[in-house]
Amino acid sequence: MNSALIELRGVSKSYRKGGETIDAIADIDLEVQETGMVAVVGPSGSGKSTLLHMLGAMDRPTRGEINVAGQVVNRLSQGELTRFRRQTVGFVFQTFNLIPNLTALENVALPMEFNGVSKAARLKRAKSLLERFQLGPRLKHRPRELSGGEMQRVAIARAVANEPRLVLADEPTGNLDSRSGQIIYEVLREISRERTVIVVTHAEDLARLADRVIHIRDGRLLDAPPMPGLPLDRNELHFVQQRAI
Amino acid sequence: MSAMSRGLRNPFRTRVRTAVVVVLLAIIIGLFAVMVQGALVTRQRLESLQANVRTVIELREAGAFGTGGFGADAPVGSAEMGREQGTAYFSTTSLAAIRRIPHADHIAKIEEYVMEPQIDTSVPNAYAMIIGLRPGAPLRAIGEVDYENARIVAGRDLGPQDENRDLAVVGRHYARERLGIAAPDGDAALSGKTIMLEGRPLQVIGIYTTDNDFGDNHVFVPIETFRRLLNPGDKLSKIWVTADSIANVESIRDELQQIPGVDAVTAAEQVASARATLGSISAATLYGSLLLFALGGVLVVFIMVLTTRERIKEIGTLKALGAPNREVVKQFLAEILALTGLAAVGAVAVATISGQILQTSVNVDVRIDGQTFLLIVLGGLIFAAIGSCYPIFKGIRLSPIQAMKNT
Ligand SMILES: Nc1ncnc2c1ncn2[C@@H]1O[C@H](COP(=O)(O)OP(=O)(O)OP(=O)(O)O)[C@@H](O)[C@H]1O
Ligand SMILES: [Mg+2]
Repeated sequence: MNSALIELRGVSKSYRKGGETIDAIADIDLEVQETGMVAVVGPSGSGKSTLLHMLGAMDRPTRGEINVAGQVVNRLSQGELTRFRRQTVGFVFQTFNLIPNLTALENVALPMEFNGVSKAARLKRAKSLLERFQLGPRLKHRPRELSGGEMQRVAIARAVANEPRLVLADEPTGNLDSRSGQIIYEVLREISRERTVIVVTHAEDLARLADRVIHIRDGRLLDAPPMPGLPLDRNELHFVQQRAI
Repeated sequence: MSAMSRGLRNPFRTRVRTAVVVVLLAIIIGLFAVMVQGALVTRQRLESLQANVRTVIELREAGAFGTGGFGADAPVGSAEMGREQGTAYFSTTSLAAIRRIPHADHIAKIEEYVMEPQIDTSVPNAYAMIIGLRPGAPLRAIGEVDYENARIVAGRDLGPQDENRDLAVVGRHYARERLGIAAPDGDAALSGKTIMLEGRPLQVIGIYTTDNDFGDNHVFVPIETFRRLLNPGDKLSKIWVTADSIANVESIRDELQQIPGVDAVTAAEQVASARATLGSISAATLYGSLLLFALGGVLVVFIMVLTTRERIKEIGTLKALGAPNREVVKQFLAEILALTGLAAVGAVAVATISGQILQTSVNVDVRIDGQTFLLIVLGGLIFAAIGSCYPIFKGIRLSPIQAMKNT
């Protein structure tokens, strides 16, 4: 089946700031297929996070229609949005956002609890997910006892716990060294075999691992993406260098 | 790991702070429970005092001030003067006159007392009083002291069966000063104790206290015994008339006032001081409990606002992961219940200790019983309810992105 998982039609998101209107996202049309890894790149403030939040039903567009996995997200009620976040998407954050007083196992089991999975079943699945990401010996560790890379792998396990069709990651390697970042990208690639993974990144080499790169600037998609293998634009490069330090 | 157990575990994340909050809250809830009970107890006592007082009319010799012989009251011996002069005087004749007033059938009780000072300047309690009364009647003496609350601390009170027997009940102060009973609060203190009255030994069968040395300096004996030994003739010092209802007090008093040689006063002013004391304790405990309530409220709100702000990112994460509002609310409820639950346990200890302090310092009998426990549980629940308002309000309204942007 080759139908689109995500379909955006004329989507805009504007913020009013003291009489001035900022178009964080301006009239975007976009289709993303089922499965595979999509990188979203663009300079700071170009609207990458805003786009991701709208796809993940954490924010509503000002205009346009967002269709994800057959659901018109912009028309869902508050309760339906909560269910959508629980079942259709998984989120990976730059700052990991694990619950500090829960163990790795409990953190991964959390979304399944919200989804009504029995305790035995969710612990079993959480354990197997963590083992799959080489965290078998870390099940009982709390976040502060884990390295950044390990924390992010726990977060990815948590994001896929409810088997969502879409995983959204906003600069998942932003707080990691390049070695750990590399591992995270491999993990994301692996999980993208069964689902769509959209990852916002500044890291050029990591963006190149993606099946598709979406360029965004000033809230708009660039019509002609640069050829694969060419350096990203200067602004992005600046960020790549900054983060490499 | 449910929202409940997460919430119950949460207070232990910031142990020192939780300990401080729990201790403070325990003190507040414990004192709150004791104060509320203190307010209730004093209010009850005030009410019974007033109900009692309002139906009671005090009769004394016209012109006397109710000091029972120390001041302007004519001592028993001078009763003969009135008789000799042929004028009306305060005596058993007055009793008969009382029974003849038009409203007499609305009189519930008539209690007569005859008193004689026992002055001995060689002892510390120089001015004691011998009081004859119908055995079984309340231990009443003169003004000032709240005799309605005289209670027996050793032995027993006089009863109807003691009519004309050589027995006495003495005040705690009297027992200490004149009978050398060092610890007058136990039955053992009484064995073999007697007082001498006109050469006759009277067996001391009980010790009472009004918690006031002045009021505890009397000897109560059956009125027939008093007459037999002290020969006051038909003279009386005080008569207390109890009306059958408040509605009849005024008309009975007016009719009593007509009896020659009799001053009839409703006893309201007699207990004014007792009422004032009780009233101020009642007010203090009431305001105290209100203040504590406000303090506790501010404390739980403060701590929960702090906690919520610290956890804003965590709440946002839960919501981003698809936690329904109900889960967020449950978790906070469990957290604050854990906090106030721990405080309630401490509050039981605080209440026990402060109840005892209140008892010994202002003599308000606050028992630590089921009601205290209930008040503590209630206090804890109310504080939990107050404390959960902000986190629930904040948690429900919080949008995950806002929370994410927070650091
Ligand atoms: N709540 C808001 N109120 C006003 N303006 C906002 C708000 N959120 C985002 N913006 C604006 O929208 C634009 C897009 O922001 P967004 O966070 O999507 O950028 P980004 O591409 O993720 O940037 P970065 O790479 O720095 O994370 C920015 O100009 C930003 O200032
Ligand atoms: Mg961003």
